[in-house]
Amino acid sequence: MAVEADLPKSVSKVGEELAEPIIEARGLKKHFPVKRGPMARTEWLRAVDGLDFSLGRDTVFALVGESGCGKSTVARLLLKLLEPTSGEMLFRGRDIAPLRGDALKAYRRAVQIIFQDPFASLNPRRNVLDTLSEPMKIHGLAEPSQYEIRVLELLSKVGMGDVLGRYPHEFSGGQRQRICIARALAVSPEVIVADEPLSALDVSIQAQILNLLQDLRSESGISFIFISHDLRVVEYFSDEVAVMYLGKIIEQAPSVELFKEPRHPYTEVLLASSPGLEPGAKKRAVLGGEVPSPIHIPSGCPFHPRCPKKFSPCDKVVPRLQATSGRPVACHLWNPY
Amino acid sequence: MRLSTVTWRRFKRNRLAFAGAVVVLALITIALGAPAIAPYEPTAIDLHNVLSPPSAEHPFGTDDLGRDVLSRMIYGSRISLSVGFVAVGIAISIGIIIGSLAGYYGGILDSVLMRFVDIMLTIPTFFLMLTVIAIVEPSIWTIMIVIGVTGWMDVARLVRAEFLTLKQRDFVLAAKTSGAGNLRTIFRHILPNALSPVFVAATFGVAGAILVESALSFLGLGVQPPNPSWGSILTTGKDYIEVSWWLSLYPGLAILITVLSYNLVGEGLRDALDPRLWETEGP
Repeated sequence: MAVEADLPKSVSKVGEELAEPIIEARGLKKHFPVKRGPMARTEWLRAVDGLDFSLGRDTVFALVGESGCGKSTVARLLLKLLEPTSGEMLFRGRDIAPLRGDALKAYRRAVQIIFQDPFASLNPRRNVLDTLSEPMKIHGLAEPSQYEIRVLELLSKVGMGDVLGRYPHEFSGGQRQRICIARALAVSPEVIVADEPLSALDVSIQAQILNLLQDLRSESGISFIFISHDLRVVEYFSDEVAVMYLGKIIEQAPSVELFKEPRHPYTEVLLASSPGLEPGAKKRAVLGGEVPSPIHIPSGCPFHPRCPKKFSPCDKVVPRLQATSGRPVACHLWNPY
Repeated sequence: MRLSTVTWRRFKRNRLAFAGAVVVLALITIALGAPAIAPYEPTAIDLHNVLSPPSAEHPFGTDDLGRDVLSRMIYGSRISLSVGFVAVGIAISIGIIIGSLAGYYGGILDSVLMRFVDIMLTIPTFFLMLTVIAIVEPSIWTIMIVIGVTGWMDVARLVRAEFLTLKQRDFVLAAKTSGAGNLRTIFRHILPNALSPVFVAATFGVAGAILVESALSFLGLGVQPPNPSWGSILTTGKDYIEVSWWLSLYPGLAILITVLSYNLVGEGLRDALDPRLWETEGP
């Protein structure tokens, strides 16, 4: 890489206002080796390429971007299902990379995940009681005699009745997603990472699940990292939004500001192309082309080949995520280069 | 409703497989109840009735020592089935352990174990068995062990492949994020979901093992006289095939039907366990 972005330590306003962030990413990178054939040179897929963000208490932080921008990799890094290539993920100020054994177990009690595909995220051979009591068993959160009662409580939290003896294939996608949410809640976590929790569901079900998440948030004070490509959902649910493009955050702002006044051309197009519900809304802007391969990231600003506003420095100089204009944006239009 | 209930329902719909299962169950019953069912002692020699053709007294005729062929075949089914089950039991145990370790831990362990599988696969199994049995005294136990120890490679590969895909599945990742350790992840979440193809392979394996045992006994390297086995009855039969067809026909048919039934059950299981069809099955 010719020009390396030197990102500020913390760019989250919410994180600064509330004393200590729960989760903080510093220069987080995850590169996957890609080798085509035994003789080929190893190339690197830069899924996450230098990410800084922080999550405060009782907030919803949204990561937005097209598919392939590295969102799900961030989720897996957060859960320590993957190890970062470089950079750190801090939980309460401590790097999670060296956690092993009991310390790792404790971390996994604090941070939970909801996956995108509810059909893949439940063990088909275990019934609801088995699935939901397992976290309690592992962490010793209840006496075995209490499992049934506790699981029923969890189920009622997610709006389900007594389905203890039933198996995943007997449920619809929305019901399964509720069970997945109940599993995440079973350990009373501080943070839930929701990796596109709605995109595999029907639109009518999406609203139900989103309402459920909203209720949980206001009742329990759990912080969310909400990963999505759907901006309408993000607008409704999140406090702070970071827009990702090819493994980097290119704009970050409180949700209200971002939707009122997007600054990065990519954010603008993304917002404009999101199908609105108002009838007679003006014609949608359409983003041309595909996301470039994260193996061959374009020089300069990674977005320049698709950018409607590109000018002379864009294909040469990598824009930094800077808050010159009051909000962090990685674009030469807003920052001096 | 458990998945096994769904599987059973789908299995029943396949008539051939169901017929195969009925035959297999009947054979198991016959083998277990051999002393009660067999009309004669399998080793009782009757020199007045040597090579007598099928009759009301001896439905499948008698052999060169006047022993009742039906009784010998009923006792022979014990050999065939126990060799089939024990040998396959050994094979799938080894296969599951090696496949699980290779698939779950990956890396160098995976490479080493899979190269070992490749090496094992280069050895012509049947000749290895002949060699081993030539050195060790042939008995039903040697046969079981030899068939098992030379037959686990396919199972190991199947299990490894299942582990490789399953360990990336969301529900396995979810178990890990719930705090599950390696043992819990393997035994509660991955292995139970990796076993379907193993069951199928095991069913085909039983058929294969029965054939191998018959072949070894036919060559005189398997079950030793006077104990009966379908293969050894067949050996006697070949000496008298021009005069006593029943000595060859009935054990031959028994092997054919048994192997065919196991293969039908295997195919039925394969279809019934196909995970691509799980989701379409309503409650």
